[in-house]
Amino acid sequence: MAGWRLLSVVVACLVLLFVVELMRRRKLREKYAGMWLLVSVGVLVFGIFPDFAQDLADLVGVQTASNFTFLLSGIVLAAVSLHLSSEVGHLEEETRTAVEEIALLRCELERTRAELDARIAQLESGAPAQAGDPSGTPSRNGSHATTSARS
Amino acid sequence: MAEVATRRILIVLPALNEENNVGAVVRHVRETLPDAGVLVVDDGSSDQTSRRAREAGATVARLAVNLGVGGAMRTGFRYAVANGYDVVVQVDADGQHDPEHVRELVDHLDQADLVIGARFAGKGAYRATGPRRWAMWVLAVVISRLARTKLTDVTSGFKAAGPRAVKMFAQYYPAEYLGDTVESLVLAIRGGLVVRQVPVEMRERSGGQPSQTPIRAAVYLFRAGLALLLALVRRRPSVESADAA
Repeated sequence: MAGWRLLSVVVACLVLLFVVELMRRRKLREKYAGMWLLVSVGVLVFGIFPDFAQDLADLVGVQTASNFTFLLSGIVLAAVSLHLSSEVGHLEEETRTAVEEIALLRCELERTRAELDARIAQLESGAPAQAGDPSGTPSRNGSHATTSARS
Repeated sequence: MAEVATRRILIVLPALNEENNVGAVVRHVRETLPDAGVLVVDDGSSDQTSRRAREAGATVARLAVNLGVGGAMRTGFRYAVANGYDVVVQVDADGQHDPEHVRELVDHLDQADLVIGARFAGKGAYRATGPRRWAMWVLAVVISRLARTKLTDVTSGFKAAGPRAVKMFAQYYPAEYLGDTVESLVLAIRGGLVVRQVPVEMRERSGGQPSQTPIRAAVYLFRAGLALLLALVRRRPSVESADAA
């Protein structure tokens, strides 16, 4: 009797320690850690007070405490995996948005670079004396017009 | 919605490993519509798609990761919004859509926000068979009812979006399986946009036929049904432009 109780208490303590350690090393974020802390505390409580599981089982109408515990663990695991699925969905959406933004930025960069090259080529080919404001402004307008027509 | 002629049109070509076709398609589009912008969205291709497209004179947005047609199209819509385009026309980069029809699609935008180039509506020789055809039929019937107009080809990738649709899709365009066709249509309809279809002729795909096995068709049927169901029960994302709903 005492053997399995000791085992479950030890396992629960290990899980608890592991979760705390992961959190301490910043490898587990708080929103996921909370879930696991709850689970390990629950296991600890069941380990120390096995009668508690029996009482709960009687309350719900399940005959044996072990069946009730299995049911509970199943529900907890299902909830955890559902939660993870939804988090993965969030991540996918975030990745997608980031990838799209990068593509558009790269597009913008290419265009700006082409514009700049054209501008520099224009300035270099023109006489240095002419490189003042009067020639600068129209050339800028011109390059804008060509890019918008191109894009 | 009146001055369709003065609108700035952006042709978006989502392309995945289409190095053999994309150049020709871009050149054809540019010849047919010299005043329209051409954006090729390279959906994470592993070949020379980007280079071929750039050589042919298109602007290229290269996605670092393959996102599917939905992701590619939202990139296109965002580009359109950022650069002041009013109309976005989606054309496949594999050459199955004839750029000659783009003008026709855009002309219909003065009565609608979204115009679909439909393959089965009388013109052309496109035929689908077996379960795939049933799935398309079911989708068409359900979405036609939603749109209160007859739509025969809801999975067509040849679509023109007007200003309201562009604004909406730039914010939200589904990236899931069939999201770029079925779900986006349902989204548009529920957002109060007007959807119409125009019969167009499809050319033979330059790159070979899509493979058809019974199992694959059945999977398609199932996933199409799921996509439709999801699209119908999903909460509409809050989009400012959807104020008409």
